[in-house]
Amino acid sequence: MSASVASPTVLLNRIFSLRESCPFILVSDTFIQSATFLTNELVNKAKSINPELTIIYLSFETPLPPSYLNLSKDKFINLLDKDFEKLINQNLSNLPDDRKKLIIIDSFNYIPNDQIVLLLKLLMKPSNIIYGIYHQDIPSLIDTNNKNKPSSYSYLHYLSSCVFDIKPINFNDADSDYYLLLQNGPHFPLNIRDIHQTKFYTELTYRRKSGRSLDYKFLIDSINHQYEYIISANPASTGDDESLLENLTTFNLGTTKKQKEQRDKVDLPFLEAQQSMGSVGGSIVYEFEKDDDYDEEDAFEDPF
Amino acid sequence: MASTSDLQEQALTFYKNKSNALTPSQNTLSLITHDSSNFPSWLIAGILQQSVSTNNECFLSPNFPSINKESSPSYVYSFTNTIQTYNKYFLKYNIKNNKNLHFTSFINSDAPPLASWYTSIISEIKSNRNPVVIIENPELVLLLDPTVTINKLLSQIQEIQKHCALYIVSTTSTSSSFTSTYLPSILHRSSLIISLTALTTGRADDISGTLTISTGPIPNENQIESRQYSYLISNSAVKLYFK
Repeated sequence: MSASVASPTVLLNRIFSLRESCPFILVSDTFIQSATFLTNELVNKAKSINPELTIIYLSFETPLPPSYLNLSKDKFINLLDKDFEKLINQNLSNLPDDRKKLIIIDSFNYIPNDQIVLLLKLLMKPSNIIYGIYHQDIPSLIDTNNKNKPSSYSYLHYLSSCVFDIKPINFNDADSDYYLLLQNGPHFPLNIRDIHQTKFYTELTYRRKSGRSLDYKFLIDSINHQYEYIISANPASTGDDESLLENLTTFNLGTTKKQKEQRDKVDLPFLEAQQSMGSVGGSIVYEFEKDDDYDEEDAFEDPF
Repeated sequence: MASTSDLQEQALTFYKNKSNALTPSQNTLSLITHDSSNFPSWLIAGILQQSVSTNNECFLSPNFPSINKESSPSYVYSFTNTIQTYNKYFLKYNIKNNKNLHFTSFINSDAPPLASWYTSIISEIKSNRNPVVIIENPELVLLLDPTVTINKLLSQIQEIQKHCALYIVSTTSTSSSFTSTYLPSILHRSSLIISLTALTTGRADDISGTLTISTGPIPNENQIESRQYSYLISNSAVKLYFK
């Protein structure tokens, strides 16, 4: 199903049930609204659609296996302050390659900047779907040898096929701690209305195979498992608001009514071309014209 | 504006289940943060009193129902205080000689070596049933032992958490590069966050500070009672009021 024709909620459901092509899902959160509820949504939906799904939990933060893991077929590997390359090779090399596996990483913050790509390289396989969490409020471990390198989050964001940015439900309120936390780290007392609500916002950035990215915003109710697509409240700027140009210069920057009418009458060649060509999606279509030199002989025909 | 003398005194509770209002589930981490002006010795004494009691008794929650419960082995490990800080409370609430209460200070001369601080804790607690462990300011290990990295300290705390209900007490006052990473990392591992803050308006005679109870990012089987209290510490008692 193409993401452009599906409704955003359908797309979100397809990502949660692992039916959409997303080999690497990145989730960014803060401690005031963590990714826990989103992880539970994804795991529950993915397991209900694919009962045979194997989950591999790579833990840097969780001391004991979460309740949704079935340890007879799933794996829980504690990697904090350990040699992750060795442990991943030991534990994952025996698993069959043909079965779909969901690899959960909590979280990327504990991996040094120069080893992030190595970790992903070990895990990225056609049958694996990586779901990794990154906490925005933990300062990143800086590579002292090369301070000009991109941050770990920049790497992860670039490599991911789908990004969820989680925000508390009242992040835009004047008394919300969200932006203060991102800027200055945790401060106390905490605003208890902010913290870890079962309803929260998530901004989804979904990258299509063509490279084009689609941005959606959802309100997720993790108790009732309902997802509401939020249409942006700010109308897109049309560029026609001439009141913004008033009194800016000593000469006239505006357009008169007559000028606008004449401009609308102009036939733009690009728009005309799209009427027939646009019907075949993004593919390149060759249209034969009368002056084209058409060679009837097949250049690749076997001469013998 | 009403003063605290007009307000009704309230009982402290962290969880909606009143029969176990201050004791977290096993294998969870609860964080108590404070700044330099309000160390939570009174709060720790209250938690310990309820934890070792066999009838749910706690001076911070005087109106709670008296129920028969098992006394939990309770351990305090401190990098900043000696038992002198708590003696007054332990004597007053009659828990000083309780066989289930254990206090270890890592700043005493007879303290276990710093290199094996977490293995000594684990060996002490792991044979017990449902132990409660309170560690005061473990972030100081980062400064005392230069070979310990943040990841190593977090992994040591995680090992201890596997064997008990763990409270971590940490200060928000220091802002070194170590602690700026340490505190958010601990916050992300917490099921319960208790923060003590001074009044933003300055000092007052009838209010000592604000106590905030909030849910942490890790789910908890006991539902947390998110709430803010004002508290007043006097020579005779600690009083709590809803904010």
